[in-house]
Amino acid sequence: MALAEQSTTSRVWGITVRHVVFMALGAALYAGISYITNTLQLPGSTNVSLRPGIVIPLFFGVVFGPWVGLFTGGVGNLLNDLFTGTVYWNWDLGNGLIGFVAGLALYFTWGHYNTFRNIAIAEVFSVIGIIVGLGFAAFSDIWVSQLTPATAITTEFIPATIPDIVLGLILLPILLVAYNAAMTRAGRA
Amino acid sequence: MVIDSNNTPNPITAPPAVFVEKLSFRYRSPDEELQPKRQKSAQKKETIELPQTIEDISFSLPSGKLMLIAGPSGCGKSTLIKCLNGLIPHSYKGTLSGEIQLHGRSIKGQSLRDLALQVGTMLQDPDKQILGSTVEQEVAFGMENLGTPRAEMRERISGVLNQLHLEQYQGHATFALSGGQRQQVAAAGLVVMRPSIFLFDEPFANLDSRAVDELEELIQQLLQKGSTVIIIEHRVEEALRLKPDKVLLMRDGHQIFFGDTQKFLEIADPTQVKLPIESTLRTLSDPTQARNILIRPIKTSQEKNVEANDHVIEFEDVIFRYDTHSEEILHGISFHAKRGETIALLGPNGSGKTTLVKQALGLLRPTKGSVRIFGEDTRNLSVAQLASRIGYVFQSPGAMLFAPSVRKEVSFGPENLRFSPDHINAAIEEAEKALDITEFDSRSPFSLSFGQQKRVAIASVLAMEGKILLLDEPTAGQDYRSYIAFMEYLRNMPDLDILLIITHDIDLALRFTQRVLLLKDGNLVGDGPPLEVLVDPALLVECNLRHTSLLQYLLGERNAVA
Amino acid sequence: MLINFVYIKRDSPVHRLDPRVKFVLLFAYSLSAAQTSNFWFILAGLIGASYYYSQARLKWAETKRVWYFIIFITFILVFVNYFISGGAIVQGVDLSNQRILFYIPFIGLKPYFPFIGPSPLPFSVQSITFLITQTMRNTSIALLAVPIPFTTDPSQFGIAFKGMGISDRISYAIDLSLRFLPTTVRDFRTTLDAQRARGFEIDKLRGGIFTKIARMAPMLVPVVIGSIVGAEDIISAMELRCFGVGKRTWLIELHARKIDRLLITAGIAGFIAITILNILGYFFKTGPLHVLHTQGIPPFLLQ
Ligand SMILES: Nc1ncnc2c1ncn2[C@@H]1O[C@H](COP(=O)(O)OP(=O)(O)OP(=O)(O)O)[C@@H](O)[C@H]1O
Ligand SMILES: Nc1ncnc2c1ncn2[C@@H]1O[C@H](COP(=O)(O)OP(=O)(O)OP(=O)(O)O)[C@@H](O)[C@H]1O
Ligand SMILES: [Mg+2]
Ligand SMILES: [Mg+2]
Repeated sequence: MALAEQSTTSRVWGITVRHVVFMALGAALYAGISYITNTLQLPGSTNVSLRPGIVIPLFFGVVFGPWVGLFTGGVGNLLNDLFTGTVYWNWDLGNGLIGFVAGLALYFTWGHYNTFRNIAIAEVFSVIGIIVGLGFAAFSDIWVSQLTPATAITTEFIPATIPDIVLGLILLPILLVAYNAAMTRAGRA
Repeated sequence: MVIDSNNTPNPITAPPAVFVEKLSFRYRSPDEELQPKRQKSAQKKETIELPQTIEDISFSLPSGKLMLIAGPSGCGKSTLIKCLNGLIPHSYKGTLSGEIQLHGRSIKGQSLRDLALQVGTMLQDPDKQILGSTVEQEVAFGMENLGTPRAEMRERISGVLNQLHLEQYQGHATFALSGGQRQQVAAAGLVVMRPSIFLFDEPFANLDSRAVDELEELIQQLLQKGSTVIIIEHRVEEALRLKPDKVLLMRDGHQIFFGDTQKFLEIADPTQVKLPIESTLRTLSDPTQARNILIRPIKTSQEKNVEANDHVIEFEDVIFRYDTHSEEILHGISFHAKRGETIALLGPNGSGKTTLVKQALGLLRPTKGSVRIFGEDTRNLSVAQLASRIGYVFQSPGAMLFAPSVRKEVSFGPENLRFSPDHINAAIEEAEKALDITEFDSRSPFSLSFGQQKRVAIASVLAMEGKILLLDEPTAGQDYRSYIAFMEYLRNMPDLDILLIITHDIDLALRFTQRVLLLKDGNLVGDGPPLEVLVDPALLVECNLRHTSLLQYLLGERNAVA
Repeated sequence: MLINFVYIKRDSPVHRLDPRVKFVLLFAYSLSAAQTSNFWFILAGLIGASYYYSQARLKWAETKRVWYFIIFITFILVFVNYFISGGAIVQGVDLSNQRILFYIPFIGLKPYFPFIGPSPLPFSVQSITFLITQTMRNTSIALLAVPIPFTTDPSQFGIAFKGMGISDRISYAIDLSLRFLPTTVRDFRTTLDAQRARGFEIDKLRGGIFTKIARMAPMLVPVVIGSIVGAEDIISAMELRCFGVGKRTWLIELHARKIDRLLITAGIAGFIAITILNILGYFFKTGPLHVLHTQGIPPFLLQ
């Protein structure tokens, strides 16, 4: 049993070459999709405020673990800053936290999403992740910019959180199902 | 270990560079991997064993020689390579048996790091192989990992870049390089590690002929320096130009031939791997029939009464640039395509083939000039409206597959076009039947093989009932056997008005199409029946098109008649 | 085709700085500025940050897009904050006797039904000073943040993080994500084209909000799944070239010059000093040690 525990820990927290590659891919995808949705200047105002990219740190978190999630969210957002031209470091950290918390789902699912239960767990952790991550970002603004909590909640936290949660809840299972099918073919350990 | 004296020409020389005996490998299925939580139940559950992937492979290759591994897709070529470079058993788990020696030393017990200094491996897709953002970083990658001091790295990098004539690219972004240059840079990243054995996994896929020539030159150079080279290639015809010393032919994980090239050509089956035309002629009872058997252009429209001036696609002096300030990519392209034609669009990498067909789809709009589809100017039509008339299948099926089942995938287009539900069902049924994917109807497209995915992609475009079908490099990434099978599917498709295929492959144009459009640097430099356009050797060279033995044969035959 | 970072290759004192310096200055200043609303401290910060920004030699035409955005955000935050809090916004400062100058009619929250109604919004010397201080603070932070993407070659990020004590693997992952970025952007574009050729119209998604979101799947799924499936080969490529076998060296080198070390030391020292002063301020209710807890308004303005 001791052995099992050890491999549990390394499975959730270990950083192998695989993890490095998935970190890099996740961050590139997160920044890439933000870049595309920014430069497309999608018409139809409803879409502009939506960030479909939010599903990327959630997905990479729940599938590959908290470190990959942290990196995907944090560095992905930082790379996006390199496009937009200014660095909001507390939002970078907040986005990292989203992926990190979502990644804790790995404790219950081992990264396998072939059952309804596991997908539901992924959803729950994703919602918590978004609340914690964006909460961190918004509330650190209270401190750094000396805002009142009411301002941070109404102008930052709620407008960012609600759409992200809705997007995440809808798009994450779609990706997980596709991922599951792709993995059965690849048959990789 | 006794070395078979037949395989070592000179008994006093050093042991062979690569020596493999009775090598077998079976991948471990994911179920067999114990998960911490399921450890107990796993013992009870019967684990499904995957079949043996490669079985009983034995060969020996002397130092400084070139070996070709051929065989259809899935026969285990890449798996064999993984055994040689140590990925098996270091990162792929499974059951391995047999013996591998490099320069007389068994690789058992050697770490990946030790092996990396002896074996350099080039993966098939340079997009995956290249890990540095700039050429310099890419070449440095392996040395960085080994902790090489910076000064030494710089020295070795400039040495290798000089050797491969890549000096001028040193600081360039790897992303912006052409396909051929990328292969060269990837090779530089291996050469700098100074291995004595090089493995190339399908290096010629997706390259035009100039890039292939450059790569061949590089391989020759490696051989001259005394390196040992193994290449995998199912386009055997291309690889034979390198004059391999040995050929290993595999099928279903077994070795069915190992020996000299000459002997190989005598026994190989031309329907399995792509061989020079002579091999096909040999298998035919009546070689004079070769032409009729091989050359059967696809006829699209079933209608007999095709009018001569029934133009379906009309390009009128199309000029295009991506940005107002960027350079012009298409310089005034004009051509008309009639109902019933099958057209091959040929041209070197970067000549503008994809850019050209995107004009017809409305994905790009001509900067000057006009494109008309069924007589209507594309300027007045949205992409979605055009989509109901023209189907375009992108090169990689992975670019478009997304749905949870094949059926949903195929229905995506018709739904976007707002067909009625009955109409949608009928369209799906017909498209699935045409490409023979009905049996996968409820499976996820992601669980299918590459070739099957390709068919799903085409079916989902066909289901939109456009009468024009454009295929971007439909055969890239498939082995010869599945490529021929695939082209036969196209032949049997329900009636289309026009089939246009973008390709690098002259043989495809010769065998399956009626007309060739030859594009070079954004100009149309050739237009006509395949043999008439391709007859000019200077033009072929200019367009980086490779002279094939089939073309040679057909031209020879024509001259004989004349 | 290529993606465009905002990075501008140029030779300026800020371009020449070690990227670590730029990060340390931003962190140290943000965390210091967060600890005070003293007008004079923030003004000093603003002047310092402006000087730093001027040394980056960035032209208005190059940066105006991001500045419009920053001005917009700052404006929203500062004013929404003022209105929502009914003018009682000054944090960490004793506000027992404000000198109110005037009121404007406004809406405020009420403790009784319907919980919202007209209520005058006060403007005092203190609150106006705070508005100015807050604007200055956000602006000065932006002046330190904007030069980072504009003056740092993205290829230096990996090694810079390594130099800040992050492990080899993670730092390399940053380099690797820069390598993948153009590829993913290209793949997204290809996928979008492929789906548009199947009649998909991203700007005209049908259905309610939920259906609309689900209809974004066709542009997301192919790229994400494709890159994960392709990752196996990338992993092989890395292992075959010895990634992760030991300590790695980096081809790209950061030269920490004297000025770089000096700035890093100064940044950290400044942050520590402010933090100590801030803590002391809790114990000393008056005098120079309490200075961070005041707004620093000259007495004559308060009479
Ligand atoms: N990691 C793996 N786990 C399980 N099975 C695998 C794995 N990799 C490959 N296989 C299976 O092993 C067989 C041989 O695959 P391999 O990649 O060696 O073929 P190949 O000859 O290189 O084919 P291609 O020409 O298509 O590249 C295939 O049936 C494949 O499905
Ligand atoms: N989105 C883009 N923006 C700017 N330039 C582009 C873009 N896409 C392609 N190009 C340029 O247009 C030229 C033609 O490219 P295109 O992809 O049409 O060539 P191709 O003939 O299809 O090549 P290949 O055989 O490699 O597919 C190239 O020089 C390419 O660099
Ligand atoms: Mg293979
Ligand atoms: Mg193309």
